[in-house]
Amino acid sequence: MSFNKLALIVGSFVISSSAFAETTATVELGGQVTSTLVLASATATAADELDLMNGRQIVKVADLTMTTNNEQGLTLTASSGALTKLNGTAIPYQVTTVVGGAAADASEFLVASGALYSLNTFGAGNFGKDLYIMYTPAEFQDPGYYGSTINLSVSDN
Amino acid sequence: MSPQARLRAGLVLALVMAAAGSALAASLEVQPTAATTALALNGDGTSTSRIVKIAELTIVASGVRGCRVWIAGGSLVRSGGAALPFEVVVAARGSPAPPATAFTVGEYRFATTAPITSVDVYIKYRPAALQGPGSYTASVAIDAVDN
Repeated sequence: MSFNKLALIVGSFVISSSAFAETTATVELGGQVTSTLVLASATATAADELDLMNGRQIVKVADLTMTTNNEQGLTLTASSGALTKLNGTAIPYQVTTVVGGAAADASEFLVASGALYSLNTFGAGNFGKDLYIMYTPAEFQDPGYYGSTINLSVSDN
Repeated sequence: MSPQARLRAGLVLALVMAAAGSALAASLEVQPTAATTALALNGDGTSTSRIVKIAELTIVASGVRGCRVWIAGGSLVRSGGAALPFEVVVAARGSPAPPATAFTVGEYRFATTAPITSVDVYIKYRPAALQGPGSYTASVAIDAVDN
């Protein structure tokens, strides 16, 4: 084989190997998910028609719906306090929540009146809860209209 | 021509061919779209399947036989959160967005036959309704080899 032919063969080999060289590129992708945190409260009719004359009562006062996309869940807080009227003796109440549709009993009211009730959820999702209060009017409660406000809030864990 | 002269001529020819050979690798031109780094990712309680054009890709083959091209699918990820997988497909430059059924899970492969081929690269993804909040990123690798 002549040198010329040998050189051509080598040259051809170089061509075919470099022609298969890989060429690469990249496209960078990105996006942002913002926090979704929702609390909706639907007040129950009974909340405005509380029985204040027949001893201890446990009453559902609201349907709560909470939503978060935080994978660590959320914390619900609810205030408690007392039903009051001008110049009347206040009626303290406690609050608790139960799974939507379930009934609450006295053993589930673990937070004293006046303290903040809190509930932790885990994972992202929708959570339905019923908000209950428990109170005991005096035997001879002063007549009149008693009212109170429960403050609710949610925060991401 | 003397044997030495023939050897020199042969070596010069080989070097010229080698130089031409290295200049003949396929080339890629990628022009990302503005949407690429601002993908809509939901997380607001609704889940929407999305098809987004992420880049205009031009493949220049070094020979007449075209190229083989690979585009990697994958996932948009964020630290501490659930990944969001996406699928890839290409469509002819300027054509309408491809249907959802056109996409390929994993690596998308295609071959070109023309010296210059221009395509649009699309991804398809569907965030969870309550996709975790945060910043998601991914890198789509594109490889081309001459046929």
